[in-house]
Amino acid sequence: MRVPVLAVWTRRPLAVDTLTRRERERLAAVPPRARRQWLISRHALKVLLGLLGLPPDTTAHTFPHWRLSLSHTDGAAVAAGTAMTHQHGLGVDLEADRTAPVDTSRFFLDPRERSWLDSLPQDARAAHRLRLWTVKEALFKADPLNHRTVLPDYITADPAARCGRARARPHPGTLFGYSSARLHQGHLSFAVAIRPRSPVPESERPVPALTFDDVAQRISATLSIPVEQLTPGTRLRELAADSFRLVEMAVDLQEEFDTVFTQHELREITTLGELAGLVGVRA
Amino acid sequence: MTLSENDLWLLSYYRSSEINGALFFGQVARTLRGGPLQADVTHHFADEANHAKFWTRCIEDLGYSARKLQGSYQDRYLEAVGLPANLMEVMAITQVFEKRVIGQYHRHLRAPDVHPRVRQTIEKIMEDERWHVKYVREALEGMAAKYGQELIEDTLARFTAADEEVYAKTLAEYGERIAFLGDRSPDA
Repeated sequence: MRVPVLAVWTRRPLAVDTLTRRERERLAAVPPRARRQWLISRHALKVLLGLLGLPPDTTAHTFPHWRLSLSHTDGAAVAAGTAMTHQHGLGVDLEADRTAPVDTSRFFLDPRERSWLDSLPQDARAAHRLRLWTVKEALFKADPLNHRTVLPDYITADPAARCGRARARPHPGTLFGYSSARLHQGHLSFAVAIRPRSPVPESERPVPALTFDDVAQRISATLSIPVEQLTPGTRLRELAADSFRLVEMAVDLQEEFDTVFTQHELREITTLGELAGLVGVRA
Repeated sequence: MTLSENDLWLLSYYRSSEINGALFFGQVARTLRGGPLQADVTHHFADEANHAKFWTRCIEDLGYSARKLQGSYQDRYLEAVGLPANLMEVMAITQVFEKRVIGQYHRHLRAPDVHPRVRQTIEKIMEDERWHVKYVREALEGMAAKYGQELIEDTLARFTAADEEVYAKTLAEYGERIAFLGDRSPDA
């Protein structure tokens, strides 16, 4: 099975004057020394969202996300996403070249992988160690059940392969695929988790994080408005000339996402992003 | 019997209110998912439209045409209570409003010299109204687990207070037209 992944890499920060109000609020909470990196990451993510036709306000998407992933390092960032729906999770990891102490291998490689690494010529080991680190990080991010795993739990079928399969020791039913590449003096890896053939027990299933996209799809269906026109900044009063259509939308969202709004809450909000927040989309 | 200008206005006002009721419940019916409540509200929507038809025929049978009226009691009431935020509030608004309708029609039936055709129309409508109050009350009872009994009671109290205020204002505004109904104090 092939899962096409779209990735956007950049070193350029997003222009501050293009940020949405919520993005500006988020930026204000980032420590000053980390703001440039945050803007670079948001730049990659915003471009990706545009390519995937998703709402462009980056605060509407939270991670881990089943179809989006984000990674950054040393002034660069990569956002990855897929339009496919059969994967269980997506992960990306980007690391700039650096020399890691040899003894870090035991924290993320299993004995067989360490043994393979030790078999390589001395001068080749650092690069492969870093590549495998990005593979493990990508696998970890792609795994929706990663709240109970650590990096050595993800085992590559062939540690020498730049593209291959892997499994997670605690839940071997989930199939992982990964791909890694050299990129601008660094390593870049993607991983996807494919839905297991035998269902994960209900008690172990994670509750997928609700996204703005989910809410927008629902509103689009209720009000017959193209989902592309719905962004977190869309004002509620622009959605329907008949105010009862907004009631219809609000009731439908509450039924769909099992929540309750109050009149006071609805009076306080003016945008779709704020409405999504009421539904439970984390900003 | 000849209808006075005020009689014609009031019957037309009833008709207009029933039309707006149908429009309101049509919207509510469209909002609901499948299930008993969806069926009941859709029935209610049809009842309100029928009531508007009954008033139109009643007025015609008396030799008149219904007046075109823009506003209705519902408009004022919904403006006062604000748009409902959730399904419980939709049903609470309905409960208070249906009680108001029953109270108003009862009051009309108690007035002297009600034309038999008007009485017949009101009594026919009242059969449906009693069912409306019953199913809405049961729907609200079924929502107690989700919304909490206290919140439902608070909401009903809030909407009842708004309705009484709107009714008092309506009586004050149209007092001359409905003086024949007697006591102007809010009726329940």
